[in-house]
Amino acid sequence: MFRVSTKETALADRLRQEALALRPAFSEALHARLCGALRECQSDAPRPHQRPSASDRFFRWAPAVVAACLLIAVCASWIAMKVRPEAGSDSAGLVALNTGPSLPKAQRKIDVRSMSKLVNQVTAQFDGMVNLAVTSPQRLYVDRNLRMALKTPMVRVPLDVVSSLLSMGSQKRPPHVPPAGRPSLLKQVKPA
Amino acid sequence: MARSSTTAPPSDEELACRAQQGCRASFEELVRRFQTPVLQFLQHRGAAAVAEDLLQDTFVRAYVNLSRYRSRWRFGTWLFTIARRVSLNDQRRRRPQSGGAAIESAEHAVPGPAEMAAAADGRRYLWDRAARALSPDELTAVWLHYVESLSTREIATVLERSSMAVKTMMFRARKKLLPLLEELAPDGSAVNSAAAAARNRALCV
Repeated sequence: MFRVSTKETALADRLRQEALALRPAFSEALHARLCGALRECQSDAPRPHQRPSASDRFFRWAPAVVAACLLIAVCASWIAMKVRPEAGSDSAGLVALNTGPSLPKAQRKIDVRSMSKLVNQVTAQFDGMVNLAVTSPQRLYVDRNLRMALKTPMVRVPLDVVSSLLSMGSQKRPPHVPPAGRPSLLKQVKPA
Repeated sequence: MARSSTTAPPSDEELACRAQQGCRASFEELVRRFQTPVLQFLQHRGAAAVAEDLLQDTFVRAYVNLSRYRSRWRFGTWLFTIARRVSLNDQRRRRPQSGGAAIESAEHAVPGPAEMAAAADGRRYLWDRAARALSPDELTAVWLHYVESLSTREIATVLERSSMAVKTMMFRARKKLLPLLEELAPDGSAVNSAAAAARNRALCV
């Protein structure tokens, strides 16, 4: 009697032998026919693998990158402006920031609360813009995102900061008055 | 060139990747390599009369859908999957014309002259019995395993089943085929026993 493994080997050999014995010979005529059929369907030919190209990826992420750069620039400039007008004030709500020994003491102080508020607003807005730019693959949204990206800094730039910047040259700073209809992000600072 | 003579021929997967880039010669080389195995596979699945048409359909489909092929797959597995689907579609298309009878049994009932000659000299004894004893999927699994040397996982891909289902299928198929093997004479060529005749009758029923 065969063992099971021997039987299975014999079965495999027999099946393979029979199949190979009956394998049709290679036919050039059939090969030519197949190649002819392939040539006929060449209009539907294999297109190269549809992967997004580098330029596609760039244009997809460009609005988000531009918006992020703009927001970072606005934020940085706003912080810089915020630090300067508070020169000379020394209230309890201010926290010293170690920006280096070369700067005067007054310039190293920023308002943490208004800063965090602004950062939260900017982050929320930035998240919204990134979501819009990423989740909508259509190019139609690119224009919209760009418009938003350009509009946002215009809304965000506090006009009162500009006015305080203009009056920064003089030693005595005029009291801060927020424009009507829009709350100021700047903290009211008592004059020293 | 001496260098080209020493380099190994590109694998099927390399040729498929080149064909994806638009090299039609690479695909024609793939056709040359797989033309005979796929033709025999289609003939074996019961479509002997239209096997060449189905073969052409298989390669055309593979060529048109080449962008869907991934190089991590074995090209043979992918091609046999397409061939099996083409064969199934053809069987479904022809089923209403055959009055509801199983297409494969109808195909086997009317063998061609070459098949009759092969059956007469015992060259395809075991496959003939297997075609009667096994289900179409079992038969395909046995063919792909023993003839095309596909792994269980690859067979599962072709048959669109789980690996465990294929293992079970193969176990059952072996269980049915081993007694058929015992009916063979020691030289493997002649079968002339009453037991074999009785078994054949039982299988036909």
